[in-house]
Amino acid sequence: MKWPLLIAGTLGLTLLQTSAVPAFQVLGVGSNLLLVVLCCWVIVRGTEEGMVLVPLAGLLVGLLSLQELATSVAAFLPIIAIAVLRPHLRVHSTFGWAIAVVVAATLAHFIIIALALELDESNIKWTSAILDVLLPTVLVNFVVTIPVYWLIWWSMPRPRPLMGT
Amino acid sequence: MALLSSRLGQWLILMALLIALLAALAVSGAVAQVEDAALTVFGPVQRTLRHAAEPAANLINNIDDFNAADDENRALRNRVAQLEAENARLREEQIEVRGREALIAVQEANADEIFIAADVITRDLTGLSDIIRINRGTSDGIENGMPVLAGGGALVGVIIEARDNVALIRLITDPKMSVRGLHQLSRAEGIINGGPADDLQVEFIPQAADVQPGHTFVTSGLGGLLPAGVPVGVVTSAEGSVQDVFRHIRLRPLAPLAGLEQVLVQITFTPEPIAGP
Repeated sequence: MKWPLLIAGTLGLTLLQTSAVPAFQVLGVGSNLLLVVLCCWVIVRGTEEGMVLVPLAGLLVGLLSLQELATSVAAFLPIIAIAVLRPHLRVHSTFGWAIAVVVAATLAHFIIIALALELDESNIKWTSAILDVLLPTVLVNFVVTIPVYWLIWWSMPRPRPLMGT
Repeated sequence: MALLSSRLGQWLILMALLIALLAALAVSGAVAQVEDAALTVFGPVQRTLRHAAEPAANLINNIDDFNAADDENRALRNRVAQLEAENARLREEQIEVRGREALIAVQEANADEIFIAADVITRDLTGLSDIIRINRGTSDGIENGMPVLAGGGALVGVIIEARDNVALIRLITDPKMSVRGLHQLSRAEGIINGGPADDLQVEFIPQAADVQPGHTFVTSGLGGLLPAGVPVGVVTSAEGSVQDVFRHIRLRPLAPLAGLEQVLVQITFTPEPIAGP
């Protein structure tokens, strides 16, 4: 029953991301709620589910928005690649690591999309794109990470203390 | 080798193959049908979600505006945009009446232009390009290159990909978009370009042209890619020293691109690029 729920949840979140979320503009950009949730999910619950949900989210975003499917999938994959680095970096705080992964994944997402557009001869003005799109998105995603992380952490099943102990 | 044999390595290889497969399918055109099917199923859900979120989004987006009620603000902005576009159109007609009878004849001959109304289904999420998708396509007579206008008559963009039941529109603010524009008062011609910010830049307007904030730019019609006289934007800044050959001009689009929900496609205009000498 776990996987149907996870897939339905990813679909629901993708529908939100491709419809309602862009309406909430802060600093001129909308948050990438889907990316933030996937990052926090992978940090809190491990990469096993993420290895399925991350490419699935990329596929769904590609189908339901205007991004190319291959670009959309590729832009989400760094979430896993960054998340698995934790043992090598000796980060102690899980929340701090979630913030770091969200910031790095947002950066990687921007770079992959921008490079794909460059390949499509879009002639991106990088300085303006970084100042007007990347930096505000990083900031907004950072702020959104705080409630999302705690919500996922709080909803995780934990071992209950035994009666009488 | 250790990475390749690990679970992560196998996953990365699988993902690389998936991306290559998707890229190949996109080139073959097979993806477009799947996208259309997905939008047919989920498009109404997306529209419902967007409408449901609108009141809350307006509240948050205007949270710093304590003095004005949000609905009134939105209504007034739309009204101002409509009046500005209407005003620009009237000025354009006035100029034509004064000395360009030949063009008036063309205008009158084209008075019965046919427009098709379409709903905006999705818009670009990356912030790096300005493309929207509408729920009308070739089955409604829409073709590539047709101009798209907002309710007030201001230019929104052009059709870049028309499929059976949907079409993609490149907005005038997209970095890849260039429109041949005309300063309405001085009749100076320039190129209006999009960019990452939500404003437009005008190139090749000579220093001698008296361009001031508040003035309007319209399409020139030169090149045959767009009809002439369609309002594009209002000047927000016009700078440049005497040493500069051209002025640095920025425009605010007249069409309310951010909250665009419905557009008009001018299906009676077919772009005919005029070949050079």
